[in-house]
Amino acid sequence: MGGKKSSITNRVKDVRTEAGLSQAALGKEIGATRQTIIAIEAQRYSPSLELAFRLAHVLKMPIEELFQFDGEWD
Amino acid sequence: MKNLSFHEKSAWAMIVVLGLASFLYFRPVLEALIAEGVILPPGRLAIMFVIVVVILAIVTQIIAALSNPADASEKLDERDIAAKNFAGHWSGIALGVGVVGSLMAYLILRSGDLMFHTVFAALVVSSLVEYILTIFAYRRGV
Repeated sequence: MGGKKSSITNRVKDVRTEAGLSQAALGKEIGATRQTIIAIEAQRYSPSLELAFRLAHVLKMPIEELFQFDGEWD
Repeated sequence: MKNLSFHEKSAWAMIVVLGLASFLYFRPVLEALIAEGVILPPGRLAIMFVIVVVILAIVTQIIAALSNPADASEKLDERDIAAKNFAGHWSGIALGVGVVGSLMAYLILRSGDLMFHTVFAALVVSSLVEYILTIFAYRRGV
């Protein structure tokens, strides 16, 4: 299912795969469900600032490299 | 199905359960109203509704939990809470509209049994709205 696309995009899927983490393992590390990781990777859900920082911390990547803002909003 | 969270599966199950129980409750009410113009007293129907919902809800929740035990024991995360808040907001509005409409109908028609049925319907509709919008929020993104 397509779902609403956010103006915030991310590279979570690529970075997670490179790190050899499963969606479930990453979710457990940051206190989110596997379905939330799936939604973030599909650009269907923009995490809160805190969850974004947790992702960046666990994936060892600066938050501005993990998340990008396309500069457009309603 | 595999990518559905326990909460989504649970919401789907409750839509089916509430739909079935509502059919069993409202069909005789509407039939009596249309055929004889009589408003059935709600006592037995309401008890039957509660028994059906409780039994089926327990069974379906157990099945949903068994289909993915790890998910069932997980705490709600921020996306789950956002979906619940979104659905709960509209569910509350649906309940409010239904109850106010029922009260106004009572002022005009002076039928306590009818008011019970309409408030009961509002309760069912608000629950259905909550479950449907929870699924919508998960699928579309919140």
